[in-house]
Amino acid sequence: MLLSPKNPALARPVVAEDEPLINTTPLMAPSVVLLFIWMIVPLAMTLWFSVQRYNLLDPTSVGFAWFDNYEFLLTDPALLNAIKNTIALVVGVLAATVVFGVACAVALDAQFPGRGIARLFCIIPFFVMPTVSALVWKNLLMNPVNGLFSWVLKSVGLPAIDWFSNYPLSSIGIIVAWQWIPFATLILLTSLQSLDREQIEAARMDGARGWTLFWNITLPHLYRSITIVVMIETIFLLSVFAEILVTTSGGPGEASTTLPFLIYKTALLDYDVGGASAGGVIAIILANIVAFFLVRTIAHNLER
Amino acid sequence: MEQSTGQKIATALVGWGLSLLMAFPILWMALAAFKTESQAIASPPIFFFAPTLENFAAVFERANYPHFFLNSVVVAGGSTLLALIIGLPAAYAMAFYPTKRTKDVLVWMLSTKMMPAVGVLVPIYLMFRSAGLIDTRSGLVFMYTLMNLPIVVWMLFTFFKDVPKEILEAALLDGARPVQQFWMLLLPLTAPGIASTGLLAVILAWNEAFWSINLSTSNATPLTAFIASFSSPEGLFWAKLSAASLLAIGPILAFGWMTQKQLVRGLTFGAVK
Amino acid sequence: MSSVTLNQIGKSYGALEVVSGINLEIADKEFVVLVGPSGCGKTTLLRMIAGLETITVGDLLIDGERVNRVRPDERGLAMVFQSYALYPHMTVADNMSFALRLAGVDKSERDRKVNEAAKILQLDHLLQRRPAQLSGGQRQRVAIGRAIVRDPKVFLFDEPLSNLDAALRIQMRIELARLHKQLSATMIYVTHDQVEAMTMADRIVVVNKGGIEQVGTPMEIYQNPDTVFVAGFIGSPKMNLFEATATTVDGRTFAHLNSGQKISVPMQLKPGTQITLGVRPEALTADSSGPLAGEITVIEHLGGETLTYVDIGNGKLATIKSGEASLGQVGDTIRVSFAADRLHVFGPDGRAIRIQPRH
Repeated sequence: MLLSPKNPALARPVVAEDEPLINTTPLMAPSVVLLFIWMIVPLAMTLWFSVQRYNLLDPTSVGFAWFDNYEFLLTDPALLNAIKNTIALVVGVLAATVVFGVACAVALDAQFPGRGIARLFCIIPFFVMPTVSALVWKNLLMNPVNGLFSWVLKSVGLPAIDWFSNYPLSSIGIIVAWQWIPFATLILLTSLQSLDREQIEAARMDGARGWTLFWNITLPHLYRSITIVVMIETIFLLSVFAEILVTTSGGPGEASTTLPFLIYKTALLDYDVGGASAGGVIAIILANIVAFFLVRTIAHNLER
Repeated sequence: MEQSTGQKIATALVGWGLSLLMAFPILWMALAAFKTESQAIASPPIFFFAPTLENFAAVFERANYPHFFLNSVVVAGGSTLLALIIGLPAAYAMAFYPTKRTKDVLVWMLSTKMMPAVGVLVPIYLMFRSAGLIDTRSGLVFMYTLMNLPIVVWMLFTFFKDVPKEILEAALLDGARPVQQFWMLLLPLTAPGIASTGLLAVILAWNEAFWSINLSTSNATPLTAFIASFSSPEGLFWAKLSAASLLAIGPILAFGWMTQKQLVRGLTFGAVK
Repeated sequence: MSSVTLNQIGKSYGALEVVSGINLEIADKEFVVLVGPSGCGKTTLLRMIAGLETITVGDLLIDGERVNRVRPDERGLAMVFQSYALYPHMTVADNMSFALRLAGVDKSERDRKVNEAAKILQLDHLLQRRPAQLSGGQRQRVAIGRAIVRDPKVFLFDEPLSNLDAALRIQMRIELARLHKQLSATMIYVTHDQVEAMTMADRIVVVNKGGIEQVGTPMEIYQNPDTVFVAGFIGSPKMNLFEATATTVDGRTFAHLNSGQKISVPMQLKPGTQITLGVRPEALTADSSGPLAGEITVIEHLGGETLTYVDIGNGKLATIKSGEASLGQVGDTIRVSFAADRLHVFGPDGRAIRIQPRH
């Protein structure tokens, strides 16, 4: 890999002189080529299919549909409903994870006995596979008859709630938020640990206490990390799928059908490749709006 | 600032209270795994009971559980290994031989992670189908390798960046070729970082649910997709569901505990350390 | 024989030129110190010699052979880094024998060489330790030992003493000078500390803004600086530098100091020329008939010597170095003089105008 003729070549062209002594192309190539193919081929295919008439169950439907798929989708109330649900889910979960994440991070940053174990307990949900989380919540906790929640409600004299029938989207939101609070906590906790203790001491000397300290010192310090949490979570939350599949399957009706779930239904249940692809393009556009800002923020960190 | 005893107790109570609240669903599930089915669905709930292992026995007998477990191990382990093998040289090159384009390459790799899975579900499904990869372990290994590659490269990159450049330069002058530098210096120096990177990749692959549900039907089904099948009538058997779930998340909780310190770096692409 | 020749060497990063037009001939067994302020390009120069940076233009020759494209380890050099760059996971002995191991030297020969070097550097009892268990000075010696073991044609040092405390620095300076004699090897040493340059070098190369200002033995450079930069950079306390304008009265040249006073200059200068006068602190003496007068503002007693700072107008301070006795009290006004041959004159381009001795 190193260019090293035993006899240093005076004949070597002057242009090549300044090249680095190591050629990194073979080291980079596998990663770059694989990721490039992985990015470009499916993307191109999605775009292509999205303007095609293509249904796996109907071999007669072929040829260019142009923007019919989009038109069909965009005029279909199901899409609007799915986008609304997606946004509601993402925004709700984001708000919950940031608020509870900050609370957990601050609580776990304080000194108390058994803090290490408590931190571990707090981040457990993040390591639980989504299907397990969803099923545990759906059955053991939120079941309207035998679930723990209904027992708690009954014991304080309130009627039991049929969570997934009456509040399907919120129930899914609760599960997803529970899964992602640890992520926010972990990142904000790390960020808190880099908060200058002297700055806090100085603020205390100036008379800042409790809430004042939190609003004026801690929260501004966390601002950047919160931005990162929000952006990274958004990317993942836009694709929430398994939780919906095992709890409500998008129902009742369309009440908890989000964009990912709609695409899944269109593609793998209705076999409408063209329509699903058009939905995919819309999902990609949505994600890229967020990704644009996230990538910019992270790239900025590289300039060190 | 000295805290009063009251404040100290309050701090501990809040900290432990929030943590236990977060962990509660899993603790409750773990408890149910050792109950009989009737104890598990009893209302009012039962907190004290004689633990039984019959659910674990039942899970192993009825559901061909080891098969799914093995699938998870092969798919998560295989994809992690592959991602490390492909990602290590790239991270090495970018950390120690940066060019003008290095930053762009890193950012571009990150941006491939931003593609929502549903956006490419259709073409991936069709390609897998025509390549005969649907419901194969190698298909999932391939998928997860690519899914984790950007995170692996980024995380390794930040760990390599922590190695002082002079050490490698000294080795260069001592006559170490890149391959020797890698084996004799970088690997021993960054072993903990490489290990956490691997663990994170295992965790992400182990818990992945979208592709496992959509690209496997039974032969290659890993635990995530298998557990999903409990959503139908099987879900009525809460104790067995809990036992199967506990087995499925057990190993990964241990990994998560081992890697928690490095996790943040990996999940935020080095933006928070 | 191990000489190093730099022929019109330059380095650019894109449009940014950091080093240019370097010509330097380093003889066998010579101890050459590259000295200059931080960011002057001296370390880049050393790294180009080592092969850690590519050379944009020019030729680098070691023993007459062009090595621009020769791999660092095949150039026959050893380098001691500022941060020591020891391998943290290896013992001292393994650190020192690493290069030999890579070169396929057998175990007994490796041990012999390591022990030999360890003896020279008094590291015998530390061979099984890890770098983390060593003090700064010991790490420094291990880094030097790692270089010695390889028996290189040329030793390269990149600010090796800058991470040590003052006392240790002096001790290591002496050790390095002794080592140079003992090994009789060619050494190229980079530092920003002119004391290190003065005390250790056979020849000093003063580097500034990516180019060479002056090359010479320490005393040549001290006594006859070619430029204002060299004059101000070499020597401690610093040379007194006064900006002035030349005037002529009755055929004699005077310098009007910007701070107000006037002194005669023993040379012909065009009136109106912007010049800089330089006088070393030890060349200034208290003299009631001296040409310069000023008020003593600060007196520093260093024991064997005394530094007296005299305000010669507009707050411009002149430093006088004298023996144990004080030249006066703070607030006193004293007159100062100097021997004509101790006066340095620099033209508007910053280059020295040599005083022609009059007969």
